[in-house]
Amino acid sequence: MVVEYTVKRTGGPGEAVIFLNDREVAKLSKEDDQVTLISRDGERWNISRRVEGELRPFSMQVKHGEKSVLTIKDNLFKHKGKFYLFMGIPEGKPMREILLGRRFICRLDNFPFNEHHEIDHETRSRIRRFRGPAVGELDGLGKAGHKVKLEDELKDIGLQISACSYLIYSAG
Amino acid sequence: MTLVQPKRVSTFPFPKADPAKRKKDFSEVQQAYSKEEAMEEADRCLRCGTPVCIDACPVHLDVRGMNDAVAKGDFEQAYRRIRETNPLLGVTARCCPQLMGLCEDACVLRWQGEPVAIGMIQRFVADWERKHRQPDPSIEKATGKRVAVIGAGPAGLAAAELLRRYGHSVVVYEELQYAGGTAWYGIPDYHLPKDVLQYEVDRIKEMGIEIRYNISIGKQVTLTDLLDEFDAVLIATGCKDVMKLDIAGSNLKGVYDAYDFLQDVFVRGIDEYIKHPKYELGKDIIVIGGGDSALDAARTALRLTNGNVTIVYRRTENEMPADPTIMDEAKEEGIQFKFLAAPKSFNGSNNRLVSVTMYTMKLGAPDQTGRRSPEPVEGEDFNMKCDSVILAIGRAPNSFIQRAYNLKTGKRNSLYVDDHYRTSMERVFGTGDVVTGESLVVKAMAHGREAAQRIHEYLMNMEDKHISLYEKYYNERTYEKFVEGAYDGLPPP
Ligand SMILES: Cc1cc2nc3c(=O)[nH]c(=O)nc-3n(C[C@H](O)[C@H](O)[C@H](O)COP(=O)(O)OP(=O)(O)OC[C@H]3O[C@@H](n4cnc5c(N)ncnc54)[C@H](O)[C@@H]3O)c2cc1C
Ligand code: SF4
Repeated sequence: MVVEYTVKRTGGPGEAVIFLNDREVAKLSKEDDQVTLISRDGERWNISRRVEGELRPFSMQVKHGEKSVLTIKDNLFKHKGKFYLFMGIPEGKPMREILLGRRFICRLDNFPFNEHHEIDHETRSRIRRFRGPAVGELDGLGKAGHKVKLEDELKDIGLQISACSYLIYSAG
Repeated sequence: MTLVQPKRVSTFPFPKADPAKRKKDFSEVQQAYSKEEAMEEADRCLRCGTPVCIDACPVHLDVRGMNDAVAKGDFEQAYRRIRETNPLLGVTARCCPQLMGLCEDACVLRWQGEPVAIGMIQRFVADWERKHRQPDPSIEKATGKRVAVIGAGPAGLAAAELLRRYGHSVVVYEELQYAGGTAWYGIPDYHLPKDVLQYEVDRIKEMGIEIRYNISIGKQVTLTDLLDEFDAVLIATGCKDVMKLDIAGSNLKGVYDAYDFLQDVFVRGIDEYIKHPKYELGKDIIVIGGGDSALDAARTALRLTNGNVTIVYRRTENEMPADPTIMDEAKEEGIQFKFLAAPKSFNGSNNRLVSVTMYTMKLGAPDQTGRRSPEPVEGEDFNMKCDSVILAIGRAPNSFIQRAYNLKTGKRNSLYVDDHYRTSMERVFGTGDVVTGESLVVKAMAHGREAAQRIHEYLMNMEDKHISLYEKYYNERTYEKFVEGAYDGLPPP
């Protein structure tokens, strides 16, 4: 893995600071239901649990102004034409190994859909049958520090992925 | 830094009966927590501001509220909180794979050790309620609307319960003489004793839901009859179409289908089956498949015969979709596994199975699911002697009603529904495994509840005000309300 982010809770679950390889790079701040990701140089992204008009579990939308930067729907997100699965099971790893501890982001190489809205009921219900190479590793509770390690292919949205990973899975 | 108690109060994942004893009968594998254990375990819960356990539960069970109340010894409140979204509490506590993508898999304590034993605490509360009966959830004023539900499985029952709470009159049609669907005849008693399911079905009926047994829609009564009598119809007929292996010898005596086998063994109760056995399994039994149903068929055969039972799977253990905690149970009981093998032909003598010729398999390129595809290795076939083979290679949605009424279908003849759970026929809705394919009890229930919400909105002309059950939970169960203890009135529908 080429980059390592650490998200540490500072106040309530929507308040945290984000470090990139030990250097503070951004913070999360929450007002009412709106969480904002603010980088050190003042760039802002709005993070919402509402995806395609609906609040959904394991789903988040990150927007920069009006532009959507990352959409996670039911643990799945698409980046540069490829689908990725949060909480995935890496290809070739036994399920028992991931019962406790670290979790993985897996790339779904042969995923038979091109867009979120095309994915049928059956696939969504059995999404954990899908496997792929691990291109991200998630570890740790936000209070102690939630670590997000990513491969090169996710580096450009690493900050947004770490923020969402913390907010969805590890805020506590 | 240790912030929490990293270990459960008892063994991980839960205490189990002695394998040498339990494999001789159908008594429960999982052993319940005592009151003290349940309270101590519940107190490990962090009462999270973002309770990801609730997000991961398909019916959004109020896990945080339950844990908080159990930790305080207030079991009444714990029951009231979780009963709100789940009428099959004892059932799901026992048969949900909580560590596999559900509540315990998501629990934040997993980052620091073992997640809270949510299923065990839920089981304690459900069992407590059976001894200390609590009031049913409230029912809204009668609307005068009538809904027919086809199928009394988890999806149909959960939908019927929510529709009833909205004040509609509900009749469930069931072709068998028992309710519970696959949970009744598929899930073995060592995981789900029948009396637990029966109690919860009876409680649902006592809310004023009529179940008409032994009526198959499409045979004794037609869909048109139902549309004449009811304002809306919900199809929840589950999975039934068994996948066949089309290889030589499939018709030999001794080659059985796992789903028929489990249904025949459990549908009238295990004691009845033992008195009147139907299958000649012999002592050497092979089960083909890699899912939970293969494990259930193997462990049931073991209990009936005390024989040598081997599960044959065409990939390796790493690719097996079965729940690893159930795999452990099977291994503890002495079930054998043969990986990277697949049947080529069934061989008989006097029309009775005596062996199976197996391909040796190897893993090739990944398929659509990303798992590497099994391929036969030339010239490395081998023979396995056996008395019977049980095939557990999957079930597809029950296509009977779709075919009978020419309803639009999806993958593998599943019933097609749109985002409103509407089928291609006016006033007819669909839900559960007949739509999604084989899933889980709790997922079928969640699907049933979402369909019920849509039907309610349709009947009351509120479709433009649709709100998902998740959003409802999210708005009503905020951390602030939880801290204030402000959400403990009688549960709204
Ligand atoms: C062997 C086995 C073991 C399983 N173990 C587990 C487990 O441990 N945990 C878990 O969570 N899930 C388990 N499952 C899956 C779970 O049982 C199903 O996902 C769930 O029961 C689906 O619910 P349903 O209501 O959609 O369908 P079903 O439970 O299949 O119910 C459909 C009902 O409709 C009735 N019906 C069908 N056609 C008609 C008709 N024309 N007229 C009237 N009635 C009709 C059927 O008789 C049945 O009662 C298991 C499944 C199998 C096969
Ligand atoms: S995620 Fe775990 S610790 Fe947090 S509320 Fe749920 S059960 Fe409790």
